[in-house]
Amino acid sequence: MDRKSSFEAEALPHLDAVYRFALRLSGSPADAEDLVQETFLRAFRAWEQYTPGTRAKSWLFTICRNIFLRQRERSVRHDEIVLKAAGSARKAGTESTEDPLFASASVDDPEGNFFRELVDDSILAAIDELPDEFRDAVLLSDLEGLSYAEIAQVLDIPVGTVKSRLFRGRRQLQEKLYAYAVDYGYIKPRAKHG
Amino acid sequence: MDRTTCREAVARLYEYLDGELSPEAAEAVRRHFEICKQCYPQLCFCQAFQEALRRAARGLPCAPEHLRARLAALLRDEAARHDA
Repeated sequence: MDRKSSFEAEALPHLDAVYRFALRLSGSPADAEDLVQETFLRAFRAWEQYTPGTRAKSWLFTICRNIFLRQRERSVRHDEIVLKAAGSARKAGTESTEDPLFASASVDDPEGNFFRELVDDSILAAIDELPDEFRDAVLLSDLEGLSYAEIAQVLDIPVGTVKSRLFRGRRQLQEKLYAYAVDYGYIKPRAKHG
Repeated sequence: MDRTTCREAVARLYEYLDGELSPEAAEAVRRHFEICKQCYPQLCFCQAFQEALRRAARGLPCAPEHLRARLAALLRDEAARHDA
């Protein structure tokens, strides 16, 4: 198979996934399209570096994220990024890592039946509201089906960090979705004692 | 005999659901959840959560047609340049 045919067979089937990833990163369809175009162009030029048999999807995600970060470095002021990162680190530090359930849900709906009632758009909106580092981990794992090792490669972090970001991100997301389910009457919180 | 403690099982819950454990470790965790009344709801809770996310993922947008077409043209040009 020539270069173009093998690229079309292995890389192009991931176009939708890369577009969605680019859309989440950049936040606008126009920027996402530019990002996708640049990603596939670079991937095509570097096709020799791709190891056949490994997942092209995570390789493309890695390229996409690298381009995005470099573009952002150029356009965003450094102190803004530092402030944002400090804010989310502070927030993350206050959470317990003891068990995956949080107190209110384990009392009102221990088996999580309310998740079945939630509207897809509200789930996607709640994911978007997560701090970037948690959002990316949850997105790559739960929505795109990447393994921990693949996520570690895409986000350029150790596997242990992938696990803790997934844990915290999922916890925050569960709390958001629980609050949403209460607002919309899918669960009725039990009255507090006293 | 089940040697996995509740603490261990819950700590490995996501690794279990994400398919990140070895077959032996996964089997040990699975057996614990099967017989433990306290831990079982936590498994259900996280499964329901992940199913909801996967369901929501099906509603995510696809790449627009004009992007697909533009990309095809771009690759054609690039391949021609590469072969030349």
